[in-house]
Amino acid sequence: MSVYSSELVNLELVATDKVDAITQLAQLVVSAGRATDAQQIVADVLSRDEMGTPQVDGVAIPHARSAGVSEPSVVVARTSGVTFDPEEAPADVIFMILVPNGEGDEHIVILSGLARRLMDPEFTQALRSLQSADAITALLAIGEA
Amino acid sequence: MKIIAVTSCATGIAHTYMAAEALERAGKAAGHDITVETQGAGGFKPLPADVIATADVIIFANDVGIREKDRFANHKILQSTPKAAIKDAKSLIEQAVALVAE
Repeated sequence: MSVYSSELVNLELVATDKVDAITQLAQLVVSAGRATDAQQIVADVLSRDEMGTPQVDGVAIPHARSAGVSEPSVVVARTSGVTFDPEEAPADVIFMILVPNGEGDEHIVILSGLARRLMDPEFTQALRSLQSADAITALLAIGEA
Repeated sequence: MKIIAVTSCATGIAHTYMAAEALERAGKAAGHDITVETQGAGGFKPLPADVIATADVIIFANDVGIREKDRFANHKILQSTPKAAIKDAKSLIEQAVALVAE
């Protein structure tokens, strides 16, 4: 199973705050049949988040290893602005990375490649401007071996 | 200048690789020869001693302990974090270059 899917894209997320955003995205992963326990995912992401959520160019990258997820998954959401780090401007794109506990190297390699691409301004701009969930997943698939 | 950076973070999924990419981009943009060793969840390939020996300066951008840290014992080291590298890699490169001049 691929780490991304058009089911894991929400181009119009409406969230009151960080916890609400993470909760809704965790529920999306459960709805897609890739996770069993949204509450566990939220708890694990927030626990890791206490060390600071990486944010680059308006894209927040909450991530965690979690027993609540069964398939490594990348969730992409666009929103009008959610504050993840009080020192940063609100994020308008959320790129959430979830990995099951004990996941092997194969998926980590794919996920680490995506993490690197987040440092490319053209990539983050495309996450912001592409018109459909399918276009977003096609973008994520570029460069995957 | 020849710069080596080592990046690592707690989960080893995101910060490690974002910091590596940021440092590579900033180092090359400033005209340096930069090599990054990522110590992430996908394991790591230790840079060989002969590569490390030729480096002018080392940047550690880590939240968790550097593995096989002894390899870098004879070098000038700029100690930082993955978050700082992601936020302003250019500044870290400049600080590392300044460290060599000291």
